[in-house]
Amino acid sequence: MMDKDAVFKKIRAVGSAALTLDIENSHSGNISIKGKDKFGNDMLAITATGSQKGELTKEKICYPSLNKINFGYFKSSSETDIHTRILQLPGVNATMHGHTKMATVVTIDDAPAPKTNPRAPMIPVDPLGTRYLRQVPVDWFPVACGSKEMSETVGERLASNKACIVQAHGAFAKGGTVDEAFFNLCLLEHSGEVLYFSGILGTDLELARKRLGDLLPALEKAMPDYSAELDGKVDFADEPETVEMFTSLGFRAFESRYSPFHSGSASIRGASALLYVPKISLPRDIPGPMLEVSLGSGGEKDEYELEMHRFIYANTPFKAVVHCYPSEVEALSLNVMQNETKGSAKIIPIDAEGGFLYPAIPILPAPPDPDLLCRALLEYKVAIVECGGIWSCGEQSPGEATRHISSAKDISFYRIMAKMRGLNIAAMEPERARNW
Amino acid sequence: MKCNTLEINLDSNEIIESTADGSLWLGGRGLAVKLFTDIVDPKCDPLGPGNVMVFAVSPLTGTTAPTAGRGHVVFKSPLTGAIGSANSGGKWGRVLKGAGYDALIIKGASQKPVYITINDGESLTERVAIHDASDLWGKDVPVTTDILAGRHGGKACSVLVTSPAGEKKVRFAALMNEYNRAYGRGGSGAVLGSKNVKAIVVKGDRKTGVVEPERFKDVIAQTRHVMKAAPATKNVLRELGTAGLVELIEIMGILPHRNFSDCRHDMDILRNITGETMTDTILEKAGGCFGCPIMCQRHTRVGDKKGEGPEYETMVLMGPLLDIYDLNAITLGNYVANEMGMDTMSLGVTLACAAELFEMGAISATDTGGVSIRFGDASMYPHIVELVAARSGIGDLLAEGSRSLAERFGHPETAMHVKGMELPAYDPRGMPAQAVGYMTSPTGACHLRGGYSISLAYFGGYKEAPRFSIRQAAMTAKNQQDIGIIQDSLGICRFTGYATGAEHWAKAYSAATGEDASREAIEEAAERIATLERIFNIEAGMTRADDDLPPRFKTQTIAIGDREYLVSENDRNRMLDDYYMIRGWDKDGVPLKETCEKLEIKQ
Repeated sequence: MMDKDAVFKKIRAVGSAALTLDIENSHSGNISIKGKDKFGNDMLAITATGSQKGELTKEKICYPSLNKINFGYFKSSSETDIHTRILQLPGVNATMHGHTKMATVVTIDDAPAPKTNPRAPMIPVDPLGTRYLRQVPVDWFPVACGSKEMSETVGERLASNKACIVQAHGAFAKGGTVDEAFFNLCLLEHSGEVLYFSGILGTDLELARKRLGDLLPALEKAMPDYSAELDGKVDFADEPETVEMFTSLGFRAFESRYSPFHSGSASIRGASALLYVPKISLPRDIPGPMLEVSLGSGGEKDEYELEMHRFIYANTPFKAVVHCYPSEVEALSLNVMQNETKGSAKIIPIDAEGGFLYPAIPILPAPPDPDLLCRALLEYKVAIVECGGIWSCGEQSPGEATRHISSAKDISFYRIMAKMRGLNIAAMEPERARNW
Repeated sequence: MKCNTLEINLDSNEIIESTADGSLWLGGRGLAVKLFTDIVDPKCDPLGPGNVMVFAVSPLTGTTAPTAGRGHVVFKSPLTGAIGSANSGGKWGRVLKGAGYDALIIKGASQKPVYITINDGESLTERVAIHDASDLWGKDVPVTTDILAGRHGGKACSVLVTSPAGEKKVRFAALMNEYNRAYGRGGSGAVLGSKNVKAIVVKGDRKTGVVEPERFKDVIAQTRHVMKAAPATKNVLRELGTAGLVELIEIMGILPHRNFSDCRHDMDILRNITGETMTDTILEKAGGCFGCPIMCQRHTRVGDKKGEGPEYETMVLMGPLLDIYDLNAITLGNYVANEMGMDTMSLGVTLACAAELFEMGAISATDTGGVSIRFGDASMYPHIVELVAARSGIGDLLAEGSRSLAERFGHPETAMHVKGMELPAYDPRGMPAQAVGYMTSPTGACHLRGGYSISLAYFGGYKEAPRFSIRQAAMTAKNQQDIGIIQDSLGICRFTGYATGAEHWAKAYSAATGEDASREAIEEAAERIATLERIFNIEAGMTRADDDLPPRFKTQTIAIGDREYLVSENDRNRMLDDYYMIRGWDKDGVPLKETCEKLEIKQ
C-alpha cells in the first residue's frame, strides 16, 4: 500500500527542486507516482491542478484511480489522464511533466498549422543527453494542454523513449522512480541548453552528433544506467561535518546548474580510502549515496567514474575531485574542438573570473586519456573533456574544485554571450593568457 | 640547474666556490637540505664544530616574482636535536643572490669571534673575507647591524646578525637581518654563535636573470593579479598585520590560554591585543620585505621606543598564554627579544611553562635567585627577556627551552612542545590536521614546517576543509606541508598561498630556469625534501615516539561550540599511520626503500 506520507515528501522535494530549476513554474507541471490503495487497486499520487510545486502541502496531492475516472480527478492535474497512460507502461512507476524552456526553445518551429507529426526530434549534442536520451520525439497538437490526442501520442512516444516534447509547451518524462523521471526531465532541459548555446556559437550540430555517435560505446561504459539503489546511504555519518560539506556542495552543484540532477561526482581522499559521492548534483531532500570506498583500484567490477577518481588520486597529490557537466562549458568546448587545429585546445576567459582562476582552461579530446587528464589537472587544477564534462581538483577541499567549475561555467557563458553580441573576442583575451 | 655554492670552513679558514646540481631540489630549503645532509653527521653535537649551516636561495630570488627575496637556513637544531630549518624575509637572501651565490655553507668553528663579508667582487679574496669581530661581541642586533652597514656599504649591503642570545647559545636564539627579520625557529642563532660568527655581511646587485622572460612576465602578471584579489594578500594583512588573527582565532575557540590549559578569554580584555587595537594605538606604518606587495610588517612605537611587532604568534604566546593582555608590555618584550635575537614563540611558551611550574609549586623563587614568573604578571617584560638572552639567573634555565625546564623540575607534562620545539598559538585540539602537522613536522611543533592546516579553517576560503575530520587529517597536513616546502624552496612567502597555488610557482620556476618543471615535478620535489628531512631525523635518533603531542592535548578537552575536543591516543595513532602511508614511510615512520628509489634519494 502506498505510504502517503513518504509519497508526499518525495513529490514535495521533487517539486521544489523542479521549481528551483525553473522547469516548473507557479502553477504548471505535474508529478505522479504509481501505487496501490488499501484494497490492492492501482492508483496514483499526482499533484493537484494549479498547485504550487515549490510549496506543496498534503492537500495538494491527489490519489485518483489509475485505470478509471473517479472522484480523484476533480482536483488532480488536468493532465492526469496522460500520466495514467504513461504509468501503465511496463516498468514505469513515476512520471513528470515540466515546462522545460530551453528544450522548448530549440524545438519550436514556425511551420504553418496544422502541422504534421512527428516534428523533427531533439537530438542532443551533449554526452549525458546522448547516453541517456539518445533522441527526444517532438509532436505538435492543436490543443497542447491535456487534450485527448495529446494523451494518446505522449503515451505512445514514451513507450519507446524516456522523454518526449510537446511542441511549444514542455516535456514529459518517465522513470522507474520519480527520481529517475526527474533525472530524465533534467537531462532533456540540459540538452536543450547545450543545443541553444551551440546554436549561438555556430557549432556544426550534425558533425557533433556524428562525433557523439562514435563515442557512444565509451559513454555507455563511462555512465551506468540510472539507479537509486544506494540513495541515502551514508558511510561516514560519524563525521557530520564532512557529510554537511558534501550535502551543501550537492545543493550548489544542483541549484547553480553545475551538473544536471543526480549527475556528476565528487570525492575527497584520505590515506587509504576515499569518501565518494557518485551523484553530486543533489537537491534538498533528495539524497544520493555517500560512500567510503577503498583508494585502491577495484578493477572491472567498479564503475568507470569511481575508477577515474582513484586514478587521479593515484597520480596526483590532490585531495579532492569533482566532475560536473555545466551546459555552457559543454557547448563551448564542443565548438572549440570543432575549430581546433593546433592540438592544444583551450578556453581563454574574457571576464573577471579568469582573474580568479587561470587565463586558460585546457580541453582534452574524448575519450579522455587518464594520464593526459592527470597532467592537465596538475597544471591547471581543472580540465574540460570533449563530450565528457569538466574535471576539477582541489589541494584540500571539494569546495576549491567546485569553485573552478563554477568559474569555468561563467567563463564559458560570457564567451558565448560575447559571440551572440558579435564582439571581437580575441581582442578581449588577456595578454597574460599567452603563456598559461 | 647549476647552483653556485660558497663553502667556508672556519676550522681551516678555507673558502671554496663550486657548483651543485639543484635540479631535484628547487632551491632554498630543498637545496639547503640536500647540501646539508650530504655533509653533516646526523649525530653531531648541534653546538659543536661538526654542525653545519647551509643558507640557500632559489632561482626566483631577486626576480619580479612577488615576495621572492626570502632565504632559508638548515642546520641541526640545538633545541630539538632534529633538523633545524628556518626561513626569513627581509632582503639578506636577495643580496646573497646578488653577490652571485645560491648557497652558503658554513662548516667548523672559529677560535675567536669573526664576521664574514661576501660580495660580488672580481677575485675570490675580494669576494669573501673573514674579519675579527672582537669589538662586536656582546653587541645587540641593531648596534651590530649599524656598525657593519657603516663599514661595508650602508643600505647596499645586508647584515645577518648573531645576537647576544646566540652568542650565549640560548637554544632558541634566532638569526636576524634587517634588524627585525628573523630566521626564527630552532636555534639558528645559537649554532652560528657556537661557531663564533657574529655576522655575515652580504653585498651585491647582480640581477637575477630568467631564461624565458616573456613567459615569466605573463606568469608573474597572473600571480600578481590573483594576489590583488584575495583579501589576505590584498589589504587585510597590510591593515591589521598578522595580529589581526587574534580575535578570529578566539572565535574559532583555539586561542591558547595559560600554557594551553584552555582557550577561554574575556573578549573585552582580549581586544587590548588585537590587530585592530594595534593599528589604532601603536602602529606607525606597515612595511614589507623585498618584492612584497602584502606588507604585513608592523613598525610600531611604545612611548619613545620604536621597533617591530608583535606578530600574531608573539602576541599570543607572550600574551594570553601567560594570561597577559597588556599590549605595551608584550610589545616592549618583543622589541627586546628582537634586539637580543630570540624566537619569541619558544620564549613565550617556555615562560608559560615556567609560570605553570611556579603555580604548582614545582619552582620557587629560591630556585631562581628571587625572580618569579607568574601568570598575569605583565611587569615581567622586558626584564625577563634580557635575563634569558644573557642566561642570567633564571634566564639560564629558561634559555634551555621548555622541555629541559619542565624535566629539570620533575614535571615534563608542563612543557608544550613536540621534539623539544614549543607549540605555535593554535590549539591542536581544534583541528586534527594541525595536530598531525605539529607531530610530524621535521623541526618539532612548527606551523610553518608542519603545515599551516589551521589556516584552511579560518581563511581557507574555497579551500576550507572539514576542520574536525580525522579521516582527512593526514592528507590535509601532508598537502599543507608540501606547499610550504615549495614556498620555502622557491624563496617566497607563506602568505602568497592565500591567493596562489603550486601551479603558479611551477610555471614561474619553469620560466625562470628554462626547465620543464611541471606542478607534478615540484610536488615530487617537495616529497623528496620531506623524506630527506625525515631520513636525517631518523639517523639523528628520532622515532615514531617523537611524533607525539604533550599529554595535555590527549587527556584534557577544550570546548568548541557545544562539543568537547581532544586528540586521543587512538586519533594520534590513526593519523600517524595514515600520514606515514601517504608519505611512503613504514609503520615506524622510516622511509621505505622504494620511496627513496622513486624520489631518487641516495642512501
